[in-house]
Amino acid sequence: MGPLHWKSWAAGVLLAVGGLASQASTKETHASFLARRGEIGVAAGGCHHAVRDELLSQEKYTGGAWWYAISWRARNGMPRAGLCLDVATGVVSNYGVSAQVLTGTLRLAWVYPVRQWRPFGRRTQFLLGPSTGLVLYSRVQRIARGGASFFDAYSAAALVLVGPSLAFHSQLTDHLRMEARSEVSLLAVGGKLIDLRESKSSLVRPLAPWQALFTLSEVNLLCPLWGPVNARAGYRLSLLRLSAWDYLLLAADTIYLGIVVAL
Amino acid sequence: MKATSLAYPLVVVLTSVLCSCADILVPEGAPELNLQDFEAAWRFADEYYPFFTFKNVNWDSLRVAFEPRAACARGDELYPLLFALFVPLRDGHIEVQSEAGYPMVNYRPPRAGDARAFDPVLLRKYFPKPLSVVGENKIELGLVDEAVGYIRFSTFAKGDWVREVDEPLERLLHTLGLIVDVRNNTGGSGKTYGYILPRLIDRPVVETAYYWDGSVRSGTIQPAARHYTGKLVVLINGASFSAAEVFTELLRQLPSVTVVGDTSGGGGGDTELFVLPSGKKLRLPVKYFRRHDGEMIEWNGVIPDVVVEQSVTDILRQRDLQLEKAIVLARKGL
Repeated sequence: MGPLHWKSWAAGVLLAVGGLASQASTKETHASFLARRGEIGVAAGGCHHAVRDELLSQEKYTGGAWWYAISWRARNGMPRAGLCLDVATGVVSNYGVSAQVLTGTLRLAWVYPVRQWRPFGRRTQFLLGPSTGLVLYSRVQRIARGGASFFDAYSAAALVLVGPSLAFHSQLTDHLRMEARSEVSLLAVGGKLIDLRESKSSLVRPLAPWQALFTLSEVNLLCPLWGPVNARAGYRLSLLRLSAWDYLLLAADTIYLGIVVAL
Repeated sequence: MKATSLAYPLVVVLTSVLCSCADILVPEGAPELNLQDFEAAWRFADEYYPFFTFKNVNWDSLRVAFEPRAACARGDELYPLLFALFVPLRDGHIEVQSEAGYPMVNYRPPRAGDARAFDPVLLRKYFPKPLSVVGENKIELGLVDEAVGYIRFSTFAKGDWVREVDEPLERLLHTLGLIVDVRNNTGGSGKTYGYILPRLIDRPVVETAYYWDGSVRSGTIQPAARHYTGKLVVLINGASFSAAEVFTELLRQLPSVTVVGDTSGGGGGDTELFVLPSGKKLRLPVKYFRRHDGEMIEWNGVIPDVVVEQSVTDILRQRDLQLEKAIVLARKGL
């Protein structure tokens, strides 16, 4: 998926969601949606990766990917727990050279409402709590095979992390709700593939924030479709930075569309 | 102008901005030095590569053909360009490495597919007791019976792991026949097999290296104080490569050695690492070894005394025909 195609597609998704929100006036309101105990959701979208993995190359690779997610969230009770699994797979390229990239995250957060207020008469809530997660990354280079092993040249990394999670919910209209959240890693245990022929460095070790950083920022809009079913559209920006081994910097813009079912 | 008519351009602009965040966060790579890298790679090979005559390759003509492409290559396009440059050499030793040292090759020796016709788990069924694994899991050894021992070197990669061979090998010195298995051993360092060899030979062997500049240097490897004195059967296959082939040919100087299996991969070079202007690296052979009969190991490989071809089908049938033959030969010589 080239960058131009990607942006046109993403613009289409946003327009479609805007249309849904304007047509949802007769459906379940968010007041009843929020009264339910929780939600499960599925989402799919397009993702734009930019990556520098200096094990394989110092060049920047960019490209599109398909992104899929499933999520569960408890709406009532304290703390409010949320679990989300997402996977993105696609091809990144640097001029005429390409690589297959696969990323995935599994995140679990527990947030507490810390402040509620009503700007312009709209109910708004700020939540804060801890989160933990697993981040996976792999890249298979499409130009050659790795040394004596006759396998494709590839790189991989994994990170288990803990850190704070912030969320911001606002009822924009009776039928349109905005949710934003941000997660950042503070402590992590990580591993990355390295060239073991030349390095004595450990593959897996605890990492300080300046050695490993994962951040995720997300904003999405929810509008009711029918009954307990709601449409969701959103944007998220994720960043993975590992400097304990050969430098890895991976950023991804994702625009997605999904269905959320209230339980 | 209606608000709806503004919606599409607004959304396009918003989307473009959002979808550019990742690009902004990840900086571009260093300035390109592809042409300089290409010229350095060509020059290093021109000066040090020892097989141009043997392989009948006109290296100068390749520079003429590839230099214009190097001038146009952007970013990582240098990698496929260098691979294409080295294709006519058909040399499994040539590696282009990233700045971090990650090795990439694009030539797979034609017999390397034999790697699939070998199963290190299957061979365990031929031993009454579990094999001992030592040397960072690179060596495994055991007894077929009281008279026949078995030792497998999965690699000759450099490192201190090889020193762990002494104590377990001591337990095999009493056997009358010893199977030395270097199947799927893709080579490594001369220092590594140079540590093992004196423990397996009962008389001196001569190692001769042929250099890029035409010089020839020989050295003698003497037996260690405690060494094996029985019959040796060396197992090879198409995935035995480089140092594993040189090791086999050095052992072949002994009359008590029989080589069993399939023709090896055919990599007779010994390499050095060259650094290109951008920091990428190039690994090239600068000297080579010949077989005991004087023929090139490069491309030709090591031809076993007793050829036993083995396929994936044999493995699926739970048969290691090469090991079975080696056991028969090791017992026969007793």
